[in-house]
Amino acid sequence: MSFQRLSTVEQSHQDNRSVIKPNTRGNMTMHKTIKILIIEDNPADSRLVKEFLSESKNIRFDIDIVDRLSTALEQISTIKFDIILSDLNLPDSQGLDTFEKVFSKAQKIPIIVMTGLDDTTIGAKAVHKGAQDYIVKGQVDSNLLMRSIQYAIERKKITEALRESEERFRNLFDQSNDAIFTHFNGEIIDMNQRACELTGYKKEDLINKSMLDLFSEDVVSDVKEIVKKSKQLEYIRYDSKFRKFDGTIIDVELSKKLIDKENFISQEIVHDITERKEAEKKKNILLNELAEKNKELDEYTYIVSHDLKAPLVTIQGFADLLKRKYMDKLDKKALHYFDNIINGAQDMNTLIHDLLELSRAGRKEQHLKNVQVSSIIDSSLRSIQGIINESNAEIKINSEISEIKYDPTQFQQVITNLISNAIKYSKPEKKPEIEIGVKKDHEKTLLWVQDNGSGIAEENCKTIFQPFFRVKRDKKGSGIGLSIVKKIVERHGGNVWVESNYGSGSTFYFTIPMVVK
Amino acid sequence: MIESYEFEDKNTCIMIVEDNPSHTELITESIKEAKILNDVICFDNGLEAVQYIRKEDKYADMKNYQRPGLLLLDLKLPLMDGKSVLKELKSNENTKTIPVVILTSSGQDRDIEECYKLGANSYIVKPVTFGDFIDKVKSIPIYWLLLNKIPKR
Repeated sequence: MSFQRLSTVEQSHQDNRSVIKPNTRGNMTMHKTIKILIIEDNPADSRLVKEFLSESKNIRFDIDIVDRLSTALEQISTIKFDIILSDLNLPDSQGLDTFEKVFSKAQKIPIIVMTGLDDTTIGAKAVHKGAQDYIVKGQVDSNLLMRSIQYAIERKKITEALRESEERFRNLFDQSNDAIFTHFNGEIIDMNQRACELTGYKKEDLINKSMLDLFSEDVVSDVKEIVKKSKQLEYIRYDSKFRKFDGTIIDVELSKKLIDKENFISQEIVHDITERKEAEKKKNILLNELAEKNKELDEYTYIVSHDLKAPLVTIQGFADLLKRKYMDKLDKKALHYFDNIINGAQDMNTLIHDLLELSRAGRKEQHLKNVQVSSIIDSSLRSIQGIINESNAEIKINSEISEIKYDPTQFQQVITNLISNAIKYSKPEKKPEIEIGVKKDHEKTLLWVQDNGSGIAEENCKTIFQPFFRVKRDKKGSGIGLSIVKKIVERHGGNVWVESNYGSGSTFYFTIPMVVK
Repeated sequence: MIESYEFEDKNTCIMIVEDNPSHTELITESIKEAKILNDVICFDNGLEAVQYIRKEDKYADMKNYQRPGLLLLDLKLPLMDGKSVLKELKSNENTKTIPVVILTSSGQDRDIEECYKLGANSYIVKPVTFGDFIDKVKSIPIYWLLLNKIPKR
């Protein structure tokens, strides 16, 4: 490899075009000046190096020569060198010690050590300690030196990048919000700072400890089972419990990754989920309470339906008897009073019925189904055939959509309520004309029921959906119908509103969100 | 003139278990309208009704005892509620053949289902619209006495 690269260098050199292609990483281009520090106390040696360097046609060198370690260190601290060439035996420092001192001041600068013929092993040792290369004086020529310098600079750049990336990784590892353990067959060999915080143990106590010792006693056998089963798996994730140094039990989520299969080295990320578990517990308690309350409400509804109806049965039943037995004894006025009693009881009956419907609409489980719009509208119309015929209403259906997702009974109730409402508020002198429409509107289905009735004053358009609101007191009904509509529509994720021209009719709109598939 | 009806067994009564006296009166009136000749016996709580049917306690040595041939039973009752009465009667060999008609103001699905599961023979919601009560309720004994055959003792 290195030989090939060298030949590339030479080729490009020869045809004099570009330079050192494979190694061009920015600063090795043709006209780049390399700042070099030569530490050499022998003037003959330093002169020779200088000559070698000047032979290079591609690279210009800016050379500093010093003959003492002390001056070298001063230079290093003030000037930014690209590379250092250093002899080891100087008047003020000898051997490997010289390299170590230079290296400690210039950790990010590539260093090439120059050794004599008799001490090449020291060169190898320097390389082991962090030097990029060593050259043997007397055995070096210009080419060799150039190559060594180029490679030293490149290699240093790569090792620096690697070191930085490792450092970044280590930082990440240490600063992680999750505890990270590296373990060999369950025995901890490394961990980050968070691991100590999470477990409450000191780093030295954790090293060589078994991962199993960190779990709460009651889950140890489960964890053993999981570990056994997942021995060959690259990655597993499970929830468990840790026992901290102070005895506190915490909920944790563990992700274990086998990073070295042959040696059973795994990395285990431990995330404290105590808060999440607590929140879940609280949520469950609240849900239970809610279910309990709903049940109570159900009970209440039941009692109301039973108890409120009993007096009605009495009123209507005795009125029935009274009419059967004493009809001939009642005069016209008495019969009028009698009718008022019956009407009152009738209204109360509707009221109780609708109130129960409203309460049910809010709590009833929804059974979402694909429903045929037209067939539901038909059923709605059939269920109020009586009042439609009575009012002589004309009903048009304008449906662009054949199928929607809705609870069928509740959909029918919405349609029925809106139509009977339209008929109820029609103008006495005018034949009611009602249009039911369905179309797609952006991401929704839009439905409307339009009438030519008396319309609604603007200030009433909002309040109309509140329970017990009625525009006209003399109209029959509980005033709950539209509240039920609102409740059903909103429970299906839609909106309901009315647009009206007072005196000439209203249009009630409601939407159904498209179901995301 | 409409003729009157009677159980084949003269010694049979119609029994009403209803805690609301007005309703008891209405039901009794309805039965009268149906021209039923058998006696009507009323109880305002479930416990006494069961004791009567079983000839227990103060009814143990009763003279002129009439066994019910039809029971009209409300659900919400003091001392022992309607469902418990139903359960008692239907789980006992001697009383399980007595036709029991639930007559209540609750039209809740769960009540209807539960009562049929317990062995109710019929479930009727008390009519709350004018003009319905007498006509509807009087048809109950007519059906059970005239049209329906019940097992002989």
